[in-house]
Amino acid sequence: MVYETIFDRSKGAKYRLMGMKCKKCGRVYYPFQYICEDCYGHEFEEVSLPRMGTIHSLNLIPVPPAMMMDKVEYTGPYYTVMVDLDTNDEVKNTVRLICQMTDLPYPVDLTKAWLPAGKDENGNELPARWADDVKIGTRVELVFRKQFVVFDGGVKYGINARLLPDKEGGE
Amino acid sequence: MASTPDCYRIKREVNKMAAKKFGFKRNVAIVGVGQTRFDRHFTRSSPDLLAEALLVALDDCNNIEPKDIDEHVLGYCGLGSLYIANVAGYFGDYLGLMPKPMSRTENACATSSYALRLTIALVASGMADIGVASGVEKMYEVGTSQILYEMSRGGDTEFESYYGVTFAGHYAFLASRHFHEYGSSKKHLCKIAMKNHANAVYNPMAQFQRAITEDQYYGALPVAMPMQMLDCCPLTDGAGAIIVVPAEDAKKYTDTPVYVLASAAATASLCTFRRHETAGIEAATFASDMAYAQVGMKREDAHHTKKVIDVVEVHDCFTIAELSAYGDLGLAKKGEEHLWVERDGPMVGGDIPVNPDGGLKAKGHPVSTTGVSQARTLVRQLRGEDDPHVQVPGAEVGLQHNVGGSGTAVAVHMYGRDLDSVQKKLKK
Ligand SMILES: [Zn+2]
Repeated sequence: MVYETIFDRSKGAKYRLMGMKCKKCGRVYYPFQYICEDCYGHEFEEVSLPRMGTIHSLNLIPVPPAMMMDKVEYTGPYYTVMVDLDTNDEVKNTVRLICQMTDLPYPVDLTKAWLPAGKDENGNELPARWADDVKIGTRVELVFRKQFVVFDGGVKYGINARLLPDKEGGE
Repeated sequence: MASTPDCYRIKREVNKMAAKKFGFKRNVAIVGVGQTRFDRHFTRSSPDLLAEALLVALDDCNNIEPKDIDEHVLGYCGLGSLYIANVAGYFGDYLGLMPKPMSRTENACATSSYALRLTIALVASGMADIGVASGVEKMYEVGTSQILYEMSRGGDTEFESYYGVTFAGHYAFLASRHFHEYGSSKKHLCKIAMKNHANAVYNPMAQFQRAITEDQYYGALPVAMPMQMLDCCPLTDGAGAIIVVPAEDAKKYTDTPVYVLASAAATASLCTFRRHETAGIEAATFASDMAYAQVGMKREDAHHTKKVIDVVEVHDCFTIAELSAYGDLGLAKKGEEHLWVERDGPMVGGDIPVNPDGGLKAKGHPVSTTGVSQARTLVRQLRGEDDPHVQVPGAEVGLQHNVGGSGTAVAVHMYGRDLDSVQKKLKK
């Protein structure tokens, strides 16, 4: 099912990673909203969002939801991540979004991604935690990818995150 | 946290709203509560469950017959159901309460707290003298995969579930962030799951009336890491109902009325990532600030050391939601919720027992029934009629926290054995 109203909010945001900037105070929103949270301004202009960011939070989902089960790029386990985009002269506040991690050796080995509680080399207790390659603070780059194929053959695209080739430093 | 965006305007708004100290034109009381057992009710229809809950609630009061009902507000999401329109008409016809006005409200998992809130408003405003707030949901009517898909729509379909985020995934984001910012861990979540299951043993209405072990907890299937199966509440069928009357009439209908001291609610953005706080449910903080203002409390007075609040029902759709609620409601300092768990604070017999009925985790979570079921538990606690194993001795003030979606709509209610229960405790 495709609703015109959904496309209304999606077209710039989802396919071109455009944010909306409040003309009054300069705060940038993703996706857009009609009234600015900071200043109540209600005039906005489109602005290109930075494509580099840092993982703010994450999860690892073992099986895709039923609606994506048929034709997905990754049949799981896969990561979904909350990414804090970098700021620049145009975008001065941190813009955050949710997307899937792409270009990883999927399916992810769950036992190597989420480590059980144990002890470090000095015998100190370590809680269950994310492994080092994908965790909070990991730097990522946003890319445009095929997301999934819907029942009538329509291809859905979206923004995904991938690790940087050179593993540029973290938080 | 440098990466957490600011929220000046929203904070200003909440302070302004709290300063208004909204109250009731006339005070209201709860005089009857009822619910069905939470279970898989394969052979019973939704109206059948609702009728049972309503008749139990009416039976719980003296001198109120179906003909006396002035207004009925039903909470119903209709998960997996074709009944998305004319819902009140459908249920009203089955109940046979024509021509009494009936309406239906929906606010995801907080649905029936909002039904209760609207019923309170109708009675407090003088538009009704006897109001019914009810909730009903059947989640086993369709397959699990369809229900999980529909639940994922508790978040944004175009910017969240589109990328494969499930409902549990939203709370996994919260957990990852809470672990990172504050140093909490799975061992605290394990303790919460075990506590709620242990409490449910004494609740004959609970879906899982049994304790769980640490091994079962850590060995459970992954759902959305760090959330595993025993971090999650189950799917549930069930109904509940609450009878609300003006406080001055309450003694006509029961010897043990429980008074509504506060009814507050707040919203946050549908997209989890557009909120200002990831390691908590900000709308719960806002709603509780407003509820405390209504009863003349400061946020600090809710802290477990102050002994103003005696018993609490929180929305533990996932264990991390309960941990976060301790801080969002101010029972523990934000970021120190897990330290309170280590000290057994929320256990029965602890500083402030939380979820003595087993919570959503073990009692079950028929989404549109949870709010009225939480209210029922608190009413029974304040009357002193809960099972002795989980009854908080002499409980006078109860606090209820019900979360819709991944934190989009939160309702916070407070109840007292007397209208001035909070003031009496603040003076102590
Ligand atoms: Zn602005």
